[in-house]
This record gives sequence, structure tokens and C-alpha cells, in this order.
Amino acid sequence: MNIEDINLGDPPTGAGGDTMRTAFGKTNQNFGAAKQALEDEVQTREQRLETQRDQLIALIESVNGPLPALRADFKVPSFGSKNAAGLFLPCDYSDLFTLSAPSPKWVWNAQGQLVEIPAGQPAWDHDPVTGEPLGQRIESVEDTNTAVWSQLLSNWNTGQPGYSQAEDNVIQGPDGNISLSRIELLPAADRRGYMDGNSLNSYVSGDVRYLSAFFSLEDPTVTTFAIGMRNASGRFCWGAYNVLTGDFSTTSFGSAGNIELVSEQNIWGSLFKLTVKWTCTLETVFRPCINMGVGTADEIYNGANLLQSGTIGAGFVSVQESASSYIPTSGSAVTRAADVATIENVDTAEWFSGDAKALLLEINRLTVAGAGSTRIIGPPSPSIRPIYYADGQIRCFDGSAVSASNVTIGDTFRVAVTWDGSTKKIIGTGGDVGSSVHNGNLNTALTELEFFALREGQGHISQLIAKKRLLTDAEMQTWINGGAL
Amino acid sequence: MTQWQPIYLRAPDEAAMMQALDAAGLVGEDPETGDETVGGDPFRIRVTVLPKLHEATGETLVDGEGNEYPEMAPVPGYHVNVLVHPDHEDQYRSALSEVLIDPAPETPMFEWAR
Repeated sequence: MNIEDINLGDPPTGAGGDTMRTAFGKTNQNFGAAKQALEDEVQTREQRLETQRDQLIALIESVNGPLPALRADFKVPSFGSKNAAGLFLPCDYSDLFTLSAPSPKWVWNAQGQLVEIPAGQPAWDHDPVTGEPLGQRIESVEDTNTAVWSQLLSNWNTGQPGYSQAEDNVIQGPDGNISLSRIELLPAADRRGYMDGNSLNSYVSGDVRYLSAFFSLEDPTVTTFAIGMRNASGRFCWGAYNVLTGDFSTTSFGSAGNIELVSEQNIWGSLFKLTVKWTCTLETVFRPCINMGVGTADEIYNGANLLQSGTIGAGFVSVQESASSYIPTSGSAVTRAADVATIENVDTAEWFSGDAKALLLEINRLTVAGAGSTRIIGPPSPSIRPIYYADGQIRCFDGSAVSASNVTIGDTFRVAVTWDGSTKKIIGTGGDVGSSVHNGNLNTALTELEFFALREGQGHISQLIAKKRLLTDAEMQTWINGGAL
Repeated sequence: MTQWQPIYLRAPDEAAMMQALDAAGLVGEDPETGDETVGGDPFRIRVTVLPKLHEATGETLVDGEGNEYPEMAPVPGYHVNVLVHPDHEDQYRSALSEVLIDPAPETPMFEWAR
């Protein structure tokens, strides 16, 4: 760059001097030259940086393989994706996924408290006992809690008049607040401590509902908590959990249905959660009921173990079509809308264009809607199922079962899928590598990928990685054995 | 997030309700099974068909064990609850006007969590 010197003289007599006009002209030239020099330098350095960046990416990829197109760890949570320059950069959940969740959801935080996640936000769930992060809870099937006044049991009926009473918000509940009702059996001889909810819904034989409640032992004379359904003419069925012995038992009167244990869980201290599955065998109007006592389900209704007095904490009662997350109610049955979560800002169509691609997925506590296939990740379109569940196996794409691995619903499992345009391979937790020739559906132009497309299942998505390269069998094994890729 | 809005629907029977939902573009076909489905774009609207509703007649009955319980009777009509994104509320209220319960019930038996 040339610098023009300015020598202000005393025009018109100054020798060799500049006038004000020529001086400012030189100033403009100098600024222009400086600007050009700066731009040239920036461009040179930018090119140098790009070269160094590309060399660095090449070095990283020569050691670790190509950077993933997308990496999402829903347990941390942390997210990142590869941009057009090849850099893998951290990003927000909303940069990768679009979530439609019109209803709030209740999940466990790391401290073992049931917390409400506002509508529209991803629900990061945890194991209530260990605090282990489980990932994003996606419930793609709507559910309704028909147990009204789920937390204010003073609004429930007290069985035979005068036998029991409930006082709300007396005992610490699963949300960490004083939110459980205390149910007290009034002093008298041989009483049954049951209470009926005011939910009055009609059921027909074959209907299935999942009944659950939290209870807290407050009185050493009460060791058994029961939940079930009861109709107005006294037909009932209960499932009872005896905390003292750990035994679960059922009883039924008047063909009111069948009860099966789903889970009993000691959340913390004296707080428990009991969940049972009720299959209706009678067309009538049923309401939920809870009971307390000592011994088995039969013994808390009949026999010598009827109480003369007793107290228990109870609440957060659910009567739902699936064992999904808790839905609080007041005077109405409440429906939680389904979640719809799709992958955005990733060229999903390119994943299926015939080049080498791979998907790696970790999922927790999957539940499926029915006996048919359940797509775990895929587009809302038939016949294209990148990863789906059917007949006890995790499979990829349509038709052919390419995984020999059987998965247990509810367990944590990993699956790796890779394809090169002509052959696809899949391996899941506990399974062998399988492979087969794809049938052309992979080339269909896709516009979106969705978790649990078509509302077929639900669970916790823990990790998702997308790569635009083939995986080796060894890499697939590493992934399903819990390793990192 | 802008809160989605509930819309309560009632028709004399299932056929009338399905006709109204179809006219509003809320009846489709399962792409895999071909079965009729109810619903629309899940980023705009959610639709749930309610079970048969019952309400107390005001009479009190007593069962064989001395328990008092309210006499129940079916509520006439076929009921559907809708939850709609606020950007599309006017559109769907208009499209479903024939079966819209307006004003909305003060104490609905079923409501959306929101």
C-alpha cells in the first residue's frame, strides 16, 4: 500500500504544499488503500483459517472417522450438528427438533420429585429412585385420567357412610410438597377403609385401564394398600400390595374384572406407587376405589383383619388407558394431548438417497400401542420405517427382519442401522448383525423423520446419532455394548 | 408458548358428528391400514372422541351394603373435544360451527390438560 504524504503549505505561495482539497483527496486515497489492504489481509487469513480448519477436520476424521451429521444426547441434554463447512457445532434442542406438546407433562426430576413440565417444552425424565437421567419422555399417544379429584381425596365418597374421612394436603407427596390426603378410618369395630372416587364412567367387557396411586405409610397398623374399581351395586375388584411382606394379591366380587400387577415401587421413605392393570368383565358404570388394611386383598375386605382404626396417605390417583405419565385432575376427567416430535434442519431426504448412512439410537422404557409394528423413528408414511419394533424384535426398514435380537419392552436398548445404498445392516442390544438387500424404499424422498410416527408407541429417547457413512460391524458392536461413536 | 384452546363439540349421534368432522377436514385414512381416522395436522389441532357420558339424575340409591350412590343416566348426544392452536382457532370454530357447544360448558366432564 502506498501512503500519500500531505504537506500543507500556504497556497498559492507555498512551495510544493497541498491545498485543503488535495489534502483531503490524499486522505481519501490513504483510507481507501488502508481498507483494501485490510480486506486483503482478512481474506488471506480467512483462507488460511479455512485451510487449517479443513486440515483439523481431516485430522479428527482420520482418527475418529467422519463427524456425525447429528448428535443428540437427551440425557445431558446436549445437541450438535455438522454445518455446511463440515464443522460440528453445539446447538439447541429447537435447532434440531420440532416439538408439538400442547399439554403439560409430569415427570421426575433428578431429585426424585414429580414436576410439571409446561406445554411446549421437552420433558427430561429421570428414574425416581436412582435419579438416573432417562432422556426425553415422548408420549405419542394421548391419554385421559378419568379419576376426578386425583389429589383432593376429600371429594371422594367414604364407602359406607361414616366409615372413613379424608383430609387434603397433609402428607408429603411425590412432588415434594405436602400434597397427599390423609385417609383416616374412624374408630369403630371392623371397618373397611375404602373410598370411592367420583369418576363415573361406563365400561364394557374387555376394556383395559391402568390404575395407579401413590400412598404413604403413616400408621404401623396399616401395611396394605389397594386400588381397584367398584360399581354402584358393590361389585368390585382390587389389587393389594402388602408393604410388610412384599406380596401382591387380588380379589374380585361380582365379575367386576381382573387385576394384574404392573409395578410396585418404593419411591423414597414411606412413599410408594402402586400400578395395576384392570380388565373389565362387566358392562356397567365403574368408579375407582382405594382401600387400606392388613394382609391380602381378601383380608382387607373380609375376615379377621378388618381394622378398627387406621391412617394412610394417598393421592395422585390415575385411571388411564396406558401406564403413561401422571395427569392431575380436579372436577373433570383430563386428557393429555399426544407429543409430536420431529427431526428438523437435517437433510433427511439425503439420508435415503443411496449414499452410505447410519443411525444409532438409544431408547429407554419403550411401550408399544399394540401387537403390530411400532415405528420408533420414521416418517408418517407407510412402508418406510428406518427403525421399528415388531414381534419382539427391533427391525429396520420395511418387511424383512434383519435383526436377530429380541428386546424386552421397557428395558434400555441400543440399535445401530447402516446402509450403503444396496445393503442394510442392523444390530440391536443382545443381537447379532443381520443384513439383507433393501427393496428401493430407501430412495423415497423423505421430508421429515418423527419419533413414534403414527402414534404407535412411546418411551424415552436417550441418544440419537446420524452419520453419513457406513458403520463397520465392529463399530455397531461397540455402540450396542454401550460404547461411544 | 401460546396456549392451545379447547373447543367442545356435540352432535345428535355419531353419524352427524363424523359428517361435521369430515366437512372440517378432520376425517382421514390410516396410511397403513386404510381405516378411517379422526384428526388433522397435529401441529394445528388435536381431536379426541369422548366415551359415552353419564350424569347424575339427582336421585340417590342405596346398595345392598348400605352404600348411598347417585343414580346415573346417559347424557344424550355424541361428544368430541378439540384442542386447537390459537393461530387456527377461528378457522376451526367456523368449520365446526354446526356441532360447536357455544358457549363452552362451565364444568365439562372431560377437558384437555393445557
